[in-house]
Amino acid sequence: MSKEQPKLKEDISPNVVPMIDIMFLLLLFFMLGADMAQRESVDMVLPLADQIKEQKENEEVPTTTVNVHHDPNLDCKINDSAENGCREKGHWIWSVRGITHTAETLKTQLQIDADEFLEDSDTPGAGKKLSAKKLLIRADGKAPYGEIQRVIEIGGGVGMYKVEVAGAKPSAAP
Amino acid sequence: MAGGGEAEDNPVNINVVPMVDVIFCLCVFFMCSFKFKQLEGKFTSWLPKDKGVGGASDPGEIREMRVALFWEADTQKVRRQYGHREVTDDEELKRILDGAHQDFIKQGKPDTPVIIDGAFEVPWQSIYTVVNICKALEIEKIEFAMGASAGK
Repeated sequence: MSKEQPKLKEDISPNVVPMIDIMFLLLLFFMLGADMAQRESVDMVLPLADQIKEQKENEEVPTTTVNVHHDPNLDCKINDSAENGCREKGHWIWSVRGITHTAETLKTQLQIDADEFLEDSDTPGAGKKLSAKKLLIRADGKAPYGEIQRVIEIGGGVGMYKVEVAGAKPSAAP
Repeated sequence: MAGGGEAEDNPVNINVVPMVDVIFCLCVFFMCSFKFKQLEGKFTSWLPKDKGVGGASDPGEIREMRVALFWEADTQKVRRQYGHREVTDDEELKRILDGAHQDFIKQGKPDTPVIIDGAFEVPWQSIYTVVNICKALEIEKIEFAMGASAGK
């Protein structure tokens, strides 16, 4: 009787190794899947389009990203509830690398960025060297078109003629 | 929970309870903060190098496919027109643009642009939908008309 007691203890001991294995796998999956990289982009719902070209992760062409989005500090219920969002002009902001800009400061910022990568020769017609840097506009799907127009206008004014507008594939939409 | 048996049964017994607890906590943290990466893409649109911003097409001859988008403040809806014709359905707009584009190709003017002329308040998604239709039809020349810009 006394000899069999340890055997009984051994039998009821749970084997936790498979559980730990599975937990490690789960942990690995969530760690790799987590998007914790600091990016220039602001969290927003991009316009959907199935014809867009997917953005390459390590594109070597220098790009300045301008985000056009609703001011997160404003508690605007219309933007959340209405189908086409908020139409208040003052509620929509432009930001570059997390810094909010007005038309004047955005122009200054884009001018600095544009001058970093000027093309080798003057462009006939423009009478100056244009920028080789791309201007990527990430605008919320609900953002008023006029806001994007203004960013394009400011970008064009400082010589950034390579304009790209960001969107999302419909299947990947949240 | 984890780790079985008495210490005297197995002298090299490792207590895995703290490790399991920590892994559980990490799992919960990553599960809560988990968000699938949104696949992003872009449309490329080069501005005219020589005209600068606000450069207009030659007004003498109509060589354009203009899609106008108006904002109806009363209904909070977008009204879309091709010429004087109101186009609500995306498929209908696609057919119209395709027909017009094919006509221009027959006339030897395949570079005739689609001009998207939107009001300030029109949601960007509506503009983007038109761009998407143009790309689907392989119309490469898309121009954004610069309306009256609202100062900030």
